[in-house]
Amino acid sequence: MWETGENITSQAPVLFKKKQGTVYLTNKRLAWVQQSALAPSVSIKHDDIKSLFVNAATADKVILKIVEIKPDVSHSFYFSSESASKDRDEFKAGISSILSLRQQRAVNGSATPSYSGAAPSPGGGGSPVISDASAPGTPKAQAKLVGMKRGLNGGGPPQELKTRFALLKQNKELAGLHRDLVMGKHVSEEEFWESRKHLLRNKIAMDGQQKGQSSAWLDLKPETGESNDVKYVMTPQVIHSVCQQYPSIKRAYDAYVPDKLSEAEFWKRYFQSRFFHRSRSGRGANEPDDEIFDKALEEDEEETKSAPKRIKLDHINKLVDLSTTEEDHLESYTSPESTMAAGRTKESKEAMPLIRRFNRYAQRVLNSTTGPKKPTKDDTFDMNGVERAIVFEDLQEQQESSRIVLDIQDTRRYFESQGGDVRSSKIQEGQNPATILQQFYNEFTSQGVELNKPFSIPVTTFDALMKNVKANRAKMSPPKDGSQVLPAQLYQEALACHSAGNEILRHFWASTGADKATKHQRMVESLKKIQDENVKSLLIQASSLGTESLNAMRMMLKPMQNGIERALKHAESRPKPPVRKLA
Amino acid sequence: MKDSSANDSNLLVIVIDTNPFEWEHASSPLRLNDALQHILAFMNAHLAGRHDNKLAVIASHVGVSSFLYPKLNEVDQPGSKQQTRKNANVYQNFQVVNDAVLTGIAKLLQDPRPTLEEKDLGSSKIAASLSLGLCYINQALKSDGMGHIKPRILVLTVSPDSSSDYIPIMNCIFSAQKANIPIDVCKIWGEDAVFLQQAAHITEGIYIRLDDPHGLLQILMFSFLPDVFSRNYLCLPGQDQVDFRAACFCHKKIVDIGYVCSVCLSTSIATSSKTWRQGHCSESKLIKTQHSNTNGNMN
Repeated sequence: MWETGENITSQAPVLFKKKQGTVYLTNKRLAWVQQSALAPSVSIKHDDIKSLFVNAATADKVILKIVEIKPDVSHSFYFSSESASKDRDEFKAGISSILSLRQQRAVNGSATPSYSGAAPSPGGGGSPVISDASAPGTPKAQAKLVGMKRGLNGGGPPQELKTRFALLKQNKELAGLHRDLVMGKHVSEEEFWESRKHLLRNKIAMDGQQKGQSSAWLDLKPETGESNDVKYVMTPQVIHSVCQQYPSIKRAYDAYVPDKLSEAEFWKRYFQSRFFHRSRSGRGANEPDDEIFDKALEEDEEETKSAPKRIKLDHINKLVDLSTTEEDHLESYTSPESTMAAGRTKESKEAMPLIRRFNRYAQRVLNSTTGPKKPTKDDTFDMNGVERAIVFEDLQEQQESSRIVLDIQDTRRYFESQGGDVRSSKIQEGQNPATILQQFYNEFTSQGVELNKPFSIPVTTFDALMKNVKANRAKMSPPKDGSQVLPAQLYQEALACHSAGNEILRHFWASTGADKATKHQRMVESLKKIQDENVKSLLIQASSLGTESLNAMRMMLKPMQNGIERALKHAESRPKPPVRKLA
Repeated sequence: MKDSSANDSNLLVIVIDTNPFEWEHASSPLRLNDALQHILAFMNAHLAGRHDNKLAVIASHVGVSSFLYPKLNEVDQPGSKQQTRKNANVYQNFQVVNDAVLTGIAKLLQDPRPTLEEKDLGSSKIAASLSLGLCYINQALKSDGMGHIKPRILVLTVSPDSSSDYIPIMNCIFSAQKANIPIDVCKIWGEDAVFLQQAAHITEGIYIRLDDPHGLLQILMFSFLPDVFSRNYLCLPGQDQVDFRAACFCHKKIVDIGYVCSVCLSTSIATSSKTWRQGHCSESKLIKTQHSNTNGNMN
């Protein structure tokens, strides 16, 4: 009946679907076994539990309701034994701890796949909700539930709220829009962010990135005090860098501090040592002997002198392993380059330790960020991996999906629709095309074209032309836009009004579906409000500054006003949603 | 193509729509003879503009399209009519062009059209004429080693859009666009010609629909006489708005917001339209688009 490794944490006799049985809570799932049955007929994995409800403690029946993440699946258990409420409390506590644990995991970004898949439902519905006493109609219970959601400013996991807040703080423009729309009650918080999911995603990704260690070569510079004494400040950061740069110092530090030497004493000796001063000019040999640092120096020099160990060639990525293609080059005359071995000339030999030192340092910095690269099984491409890397999907033969080829039988009819409502030349009913042609020919040849005849051009032609040209010209040099004419404050207000209006328009058109009638209605109200209040007040303000400002303002707001008018017209033309009577 | 300069000669290819069913229609406000008076005057004006200005005239007739001037592949018969009608008062070049156009049209009209098919009735061969014009321009450009010929096309049309021409016209438009050949369009009367309107827009030509066809010459002289080079410095009339909206594939309605199949580019009002989908577009390929005219832009 139970899986291996499954332990029953609590159990109680319950009625489920009016059948007597026993409910078990194990470390893996919640299960209900009917009386005298062998296997559980209800089995809910922990990760599938979305929320848990219990009715009021004072109620007659003791009910525990489990809602699964799968939509619309819930189970109600009636605790039937004498210690029913005690049993239920035990279950409640068990499941609550599971849910809160999972929520924690989700916040830490390591949600189990089954959970994270269901989580991003709007309104934070995916987050586990634990509530007490949710017997229908109990005002206290409802208030508690709602309060919990409101407390999070409209729902959503707290992580997201934090991100939203950070985003608003960063982006002034967005904050302004948010203030206008959400604080102005035009759209709800959720709706506002619904269309900006990508911003949140970006922000989360950006915050998730870790800043690596600085790769700068540590240069310890002393501060010179008043009495010409020299002072070095050792912060933990500097100590870390020193250890990073000189592993031999780190070894010495580990060995002596704090057992044999105090930390301050250790660093004091370090700064007096030959180790510290060898790279500084002039003072090479004058330092007193110091057994700790002389040894470290020796180690360090030994380290840089020796060539780095050859990298083991066991785990070479097959895709970059040149030796695997050796057989393709048998015919060629190239041989391995031998003249450019490092350290061959005198100069390069002197430079070698320094180069090695830098290389090692670079490697250590890299490792501290990415972790030392260990050739693991994943890295070595087995044949399967190689195949995965060299087979391109684009080059594969396409599987012809079964589809019906579009076959337009009468192209004429199709393209007629493309041309709009254009009629083709119509030949009047009952007329023979041939006669028309004949008649036309006769007329054409009999009359001829007389070029000497004076032209009678209507006066209106030129006027129309000039009007057209003037309009075109006006478009080429548009009147000064608001940014030059209007005061900065008013201009900003107009911009804000425009973006708010556009946002609401977006919500308006997105809510044309039948299932969003209430939102649609709300958007209509908001649009009207913008039209009647914001736009008007802007125009009044602009008109007080003269006609030029008024015109500029009109021009700025025109596109949005057109959009709003159009939307309102659309809203009017559409059948009113049936008003639901509230019981 | 080299930059245009003031010294370039201009090749003007004029496409005249000679659709008899439109010109002869009861509602036609202008007769072809009168219109030709204007058009010939305009042609002469173009030829008079520069000594090396070139001209080609193509008739877009019903069911056929042919060159009126220059006459291609036609052997001049000695002692023909043209010789006898020589007029001492007319500049020789003008005379040649005028005669060629008039006799060409007369010949077209006279020619009985046994091949005239039922479906061709009433639609002008604009696409064919555009193709002829583009070919002629291409030839002229190739034979002109200096690269000093600046071609352009002027379409004088009266017919409504011929729906079967949609794809050929679009192809012509895109070739013209690629070759930097502006297509000017003058719709002498009637509704806007949507295809040609788009042609003018895409090739940066001028589209004008006449309010009063009797002022044709004025419009031609004012708007279409300036060559490609002068246009840089002139403010010419032209359309202000182009109708780019698409029609719903199944409802035949022009839509502002619709779904576009990313594979076949067909448009529909709703994804649910069964007749439209018919299996050839899966929902995942549909992109909801909004026609740009409805979007307001502030700056």
